[in-house]
Amino acid sequence: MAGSSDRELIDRARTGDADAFGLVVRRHQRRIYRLAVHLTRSASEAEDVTQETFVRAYQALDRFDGRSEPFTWLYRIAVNLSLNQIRARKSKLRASTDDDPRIVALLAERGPLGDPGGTADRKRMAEVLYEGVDALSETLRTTLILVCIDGVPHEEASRLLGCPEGTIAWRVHEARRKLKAFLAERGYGGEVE
Amino acid sequence: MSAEKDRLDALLAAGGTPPLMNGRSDDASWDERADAIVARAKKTADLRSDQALKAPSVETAKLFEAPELLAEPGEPGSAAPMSVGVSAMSESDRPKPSQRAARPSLKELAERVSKTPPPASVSAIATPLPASRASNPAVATPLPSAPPSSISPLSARAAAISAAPPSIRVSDAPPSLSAPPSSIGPSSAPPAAKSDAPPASVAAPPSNVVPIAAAKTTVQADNGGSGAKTGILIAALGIAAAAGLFFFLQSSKTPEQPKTAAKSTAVVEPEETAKPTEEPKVAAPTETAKPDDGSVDLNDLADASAKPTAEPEVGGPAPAKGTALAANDPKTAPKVDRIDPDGTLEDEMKKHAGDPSKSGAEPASEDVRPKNVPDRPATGVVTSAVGAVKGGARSCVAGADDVSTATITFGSSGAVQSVSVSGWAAGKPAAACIQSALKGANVGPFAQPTFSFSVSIRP
Repeated sequence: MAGSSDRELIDRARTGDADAFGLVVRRHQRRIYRLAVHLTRSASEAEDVTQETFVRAYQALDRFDGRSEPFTWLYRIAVNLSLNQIRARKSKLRASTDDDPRIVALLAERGPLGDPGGTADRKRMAEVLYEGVDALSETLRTTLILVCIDGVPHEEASRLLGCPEGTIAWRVHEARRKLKAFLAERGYGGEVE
Repeated sequence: MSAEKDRLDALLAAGGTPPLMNGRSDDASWDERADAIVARAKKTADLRSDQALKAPSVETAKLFEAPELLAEPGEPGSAAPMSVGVSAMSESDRPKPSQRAARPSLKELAERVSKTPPPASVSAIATPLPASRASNPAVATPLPSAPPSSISPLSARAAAISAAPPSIRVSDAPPSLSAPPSSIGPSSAPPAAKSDAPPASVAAPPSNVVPIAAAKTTVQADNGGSGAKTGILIAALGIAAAAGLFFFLQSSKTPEQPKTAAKSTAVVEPEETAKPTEEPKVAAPTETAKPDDGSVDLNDLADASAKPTAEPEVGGPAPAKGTALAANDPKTAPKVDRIDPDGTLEDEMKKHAGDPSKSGAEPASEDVRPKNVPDRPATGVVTSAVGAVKGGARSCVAGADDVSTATITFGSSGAVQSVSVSGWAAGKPAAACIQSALKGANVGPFAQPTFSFSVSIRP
């Protein structure tokens, strides 16, 4: 069963095979959690979104028509739930640097550094980077996260967000442009490294 | 730029899966979490099954649809207005006539002429820009500092005109003594351009729109002459000739009056009668036209001793306001040939002037204008006008990997009405840059409501 495709697993889950659905969850939960973290900027909310995504998907297995990949279907649910979460907030979430899961993940991947000054610089740069991402409009931010952070191809993103590929490309270009300007204003122009 | 983009993308893509709330991110934790999710999913599904709630709610159904994201301003296919460029192209953004800067009076212009050197000959072909363009930074487009080397001489001239200091532009052109007041309109401009040739821009009508034909004629006539002095001299000679002619008519009252007048005219300005271009059919210096109401005061016409009167003669010495307009009116012009030699001048004046309320000044402005502007701008004019600004547009697509096409729509005033961009730059910020660059093109007035021209912009 581990070698089965997502479609096969979904088909089996439809027949009541919970283990098959469990395998789908194991395959995609980390990526969906990462997406939700970037969208919601909160680990706890991202966990909720991840769980809710699979719960809703399980409830609606019969609605999956197979026209798109199961992963795209799950991603769309996750994006909608994340946006609902953000819109339901009464005020903007202001996570401190220490508990911003995005910065933690970024710094962890780059590995511990012996130079505290270098770490501080990278942390500061990561803060500015995500501050710039958060300053984008909801539309640009969502598209940028999907395409540039999560690596979803334009074609897939256009299906996911229900707009033409050209629009996705334009949004990514616009988001990059604004982000670069934001970074440049803060002294990171041309050397976002 | 590409390297910078790659660096930014790499930075955005960096960072793995963030740790869970409990701070752990090992496989065991994720497996536990997956089991918890599946258990909850099953439980929820069973609960829903028990409650016979299989039909999803509207809220749930929306989860499986594309997210509702607002279109960004300027996004392709959206109705949202662009943040840059397009709004400035809107005609509605142009200042209303009442908001435009006040034009200098003739007296002020005359004073300025005395201090300004004669304009270069090319200035006569200058495509007139509305006065508001110079004063309204929102509409004004920066013009290229130098024309591209590949453009034709005509376009080079146009570029030189664009770069010319404001002091020699049409709106600030030296005044002509025979230039019509603003209330009369531009209909008398072409005759003025021929009669008062030396000052390059003296034929500029009050509306700052110079018919191309008139402008070209002026260019031919202007061979670096002495500018305002020559114009004043010719005008003075014209006035003197008209006055002399009037006294002659008063004293003689013979059937040979027209012939005499023609001779007099020929003596005054022999050069102009030989010109093959459009000749003023009736022209004489006069002060009788009232700019305030556009009508002709017959009492003033009759007051021969105080003011020179209209000369109902073909090839008169100098064009004038009301009379020139009346001559171009097809209804009034033929009457010139039916002068009763036995009648008094006053009678003739009244006969030709007709109903004061139907003075020839007003209808003439409607009839003459279309004759003086081309139906559509000449290809060479369009090419040179666009070529002068194309360099700026090309710089907008530096680094592009495909061709962009801009369709420029000119209004009848000659100014750019709109620019639409397709191809590579479409939907990109470069489109606004191209629109802004091409907006500076001006092809001069033409009769058609609009004229479109497409230009390819290669990187």
